Amino acid sequence: MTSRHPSEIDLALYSSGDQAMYERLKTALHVRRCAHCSGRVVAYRGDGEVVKNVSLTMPSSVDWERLSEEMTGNIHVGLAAGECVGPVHSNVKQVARGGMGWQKGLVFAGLGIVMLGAWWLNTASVETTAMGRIGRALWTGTPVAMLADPGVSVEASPGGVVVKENGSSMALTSSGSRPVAVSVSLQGAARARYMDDDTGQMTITTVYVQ
Amino acid sequence: MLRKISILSLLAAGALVAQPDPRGSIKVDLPKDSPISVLNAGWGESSTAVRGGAMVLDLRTALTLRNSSQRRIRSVTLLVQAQEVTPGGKASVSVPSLDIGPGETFPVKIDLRLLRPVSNGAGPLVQVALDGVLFDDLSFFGANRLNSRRSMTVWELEARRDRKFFKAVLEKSGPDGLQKEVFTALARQGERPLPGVQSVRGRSTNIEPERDLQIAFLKVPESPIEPMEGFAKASSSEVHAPRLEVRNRSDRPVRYLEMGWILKDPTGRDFLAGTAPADVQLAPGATGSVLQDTTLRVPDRSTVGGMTGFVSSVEFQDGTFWIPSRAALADAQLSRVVAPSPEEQRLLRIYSKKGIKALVEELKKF
Repeated sequence: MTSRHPSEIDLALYSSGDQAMYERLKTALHVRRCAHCSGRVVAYRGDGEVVKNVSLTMPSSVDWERLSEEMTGNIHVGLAAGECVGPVHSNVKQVARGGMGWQKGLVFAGLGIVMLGAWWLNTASVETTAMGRIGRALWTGTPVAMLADPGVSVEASPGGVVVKENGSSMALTSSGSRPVAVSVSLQGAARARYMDDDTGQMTITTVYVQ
Repeated sequence: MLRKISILSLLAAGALVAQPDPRGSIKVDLPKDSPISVLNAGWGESSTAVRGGAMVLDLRTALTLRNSSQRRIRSVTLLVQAQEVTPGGKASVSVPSLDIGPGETFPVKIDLRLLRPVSNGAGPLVQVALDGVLFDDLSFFGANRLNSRRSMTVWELEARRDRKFFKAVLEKSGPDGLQKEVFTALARQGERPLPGVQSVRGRSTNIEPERDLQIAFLKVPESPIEPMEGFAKASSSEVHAPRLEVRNRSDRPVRYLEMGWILKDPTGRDFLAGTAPADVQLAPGATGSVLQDTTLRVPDRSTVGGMTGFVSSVEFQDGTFWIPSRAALADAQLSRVVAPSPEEQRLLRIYSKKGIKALVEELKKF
């Protein structure tokens, strides 16, 4: 026999079979060994049966027709009052709209940071610049031409020949001497002429992007 | 963290493994009946470096070639390639203004940078092939994959024109007259603007509004091709898709022409932006259109103020060429922008390095 008796509430719940499984096992062990509590359980079950039988029959004093009319009238009054007050939000909706709002904002802010990071890491600066210019053009309402592939370009400059792609560039001709002449061909080639100081020999280097 | 270190270690190991053995990394392919032979083709001071998925090849070497034909060689073009397709993988090295007799040797300096994928299979890193050899009788030998026959023939014709010009000055005015002419040429060369210009195949990115730009033309009276009218799309810093109508006013069919394009910078100064080669089929008296899907882009903070074209060379159906005479190039606008020929630059360098006597001796050679 256990030293502590279950509370009256636990015994009542146990008698009606409404206790949780663990609590029910614990109470059942006690009730088996405790005559006092076993008696209380029998009493609760008896009361339950009485209440059950009483609830199955309508009291004779009740005027069902009148009760139905009062209930209908109360419902109409409630609806009318609700229309006067305006929409009523349940607590659940309040939580969804108000309580969760900052969390949603946090999630979207995180996603934004991730997307900006991915853009910064993977997109060429020339494209970022182009997108910025498009954004400004759209904002100010100036005409915007079609956006196309920037392509590969080859540049001839006093420094030599450089191939450019996606904002990156690489010099492809001599780094040791300056050309005496450079030119580009619209067929996608650039030329640089170099003169050897020792031999006086002219060398023409052509780089092709096609 | 451990995972990151592992990945970095693997990448570093991969890069080290990818470093090729330079020996045998350059291969020179010459046809069996080639008029030149290779005496030496070392790796020289060349080096390689791996950057991401690409290998950068810094080629610094010199091939020693021998003229194994019975004719004098005037020009040679070698195709140097690390890969066929990707930009930066293919280049050529040309040596104009040569005078190499039978059995004589000459160097061809290769000093350029090429790109190729790190994992491009076995075999040499760089392949050098003969694209063409031009002889003193203007005959040509080679695969001509790069149309080097045209380039080398034009260089040789320009060389003959300019040597003839300086020889005529020497005969008429003596060494003092020649020296005066050399000063004028050197001054013109020093004043010629040398801006950076980009050539882009196809349409370039441009969000600026475009306008139709009417192309002006420099009339070269002796030119067999007469430009009639031309237009291009222009924004502030780009000109693209130039199209023009031309007429063949010679009595021979024309199969190729090259236009020079002069742009005007914001200060109003003209500069030669580039050349536009075009294959055409023009019978005598016929007109035709030339349209090119290309873009010329001027450097940052520059704007295109105007565009002027001129005919810089023409190839007839029979394989002969026309180039502008010295008189035509004396035009004020042309003389300011057109680069001197490789031969003129070579002659001027001889004068600058060795003086008027050496230049006179050089002009007497051939």
